[in-house]
Amino acid sequence: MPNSAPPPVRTPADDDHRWSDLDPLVKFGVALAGVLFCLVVLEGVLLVPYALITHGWTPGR
Amino acid sequence: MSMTTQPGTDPEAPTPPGASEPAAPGIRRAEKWFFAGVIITGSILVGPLGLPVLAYGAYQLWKIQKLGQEAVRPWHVSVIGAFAIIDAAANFVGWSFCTFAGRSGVGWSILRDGYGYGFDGLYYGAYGTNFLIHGVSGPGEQSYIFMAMFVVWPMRLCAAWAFLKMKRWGFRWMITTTWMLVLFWVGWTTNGLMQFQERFATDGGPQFGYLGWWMFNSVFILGPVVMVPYLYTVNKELWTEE
Repeated sequence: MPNSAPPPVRTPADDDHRWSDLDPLVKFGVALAGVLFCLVVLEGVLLVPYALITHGWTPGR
Repeated sequence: MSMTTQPGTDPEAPTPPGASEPAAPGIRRAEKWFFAGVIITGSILVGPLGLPVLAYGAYQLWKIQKLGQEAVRPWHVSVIGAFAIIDAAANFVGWSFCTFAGRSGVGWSILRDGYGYGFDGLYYGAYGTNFLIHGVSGPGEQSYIFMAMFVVWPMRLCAAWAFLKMKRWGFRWMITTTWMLVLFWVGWTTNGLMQFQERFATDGGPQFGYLGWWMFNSVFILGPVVMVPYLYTVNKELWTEE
């Protein structure tokens, strides 16, 4: 009987956007954005203790 | 440059993320958490407080998608959009403090004594010295800050917001503001190096020196390096809403 195979399962849209599906340049952009995201957060928050410590504040005092 | 076709252009494929259709239960709530997390993370000095909120929102969105509902947006759009917002917000907040609250506690004690003392002598020795507008009195510096604060970063924030909402105009504005950022960073770094003595030499000498200035600021300067390959390669048909 022709066409006896079950219909294809429809997948959520994000399943088409697995890492391996992405273009290398898109991968490059996303990976670098992830790294820079972490660095922006880290740099911003480290300014606070850095400014305090270099101007006389000591942890625990 | 040829546009690489990503999944999503097939007419028989599921509706692209962002296309107008009834929102699944919980999506609106999850989106609120996600965007609240992005905003708090973009506040720079208390950025990590936003991370759990952002993570919870992203987790809720992922869970909704796993239950078989339509995804709000592909995950890589979330990564790029969230980075664009915190990148713009960090600079917007920082330079707004320099200009309007240069002599406040946060401006003076953290941005001057932190960023200025460690990385940029001009922001230590000449911080808050301009009449009324505070900022930094180095030649041209405050004009770049005004450009950034009143034009580039507000445009970028709007663009990134609409980009995350999968609106086509947001995608187009991301391209426009990316090239504006290229122009801005080339101008700001070049102009900044004109005052080499004040920034790096005996007058202002930051603790981490010349290399420290580049390392600290490269996190922001590299933003367009992320965006240009991404925006010109990704399938723009994903951004459908007008």
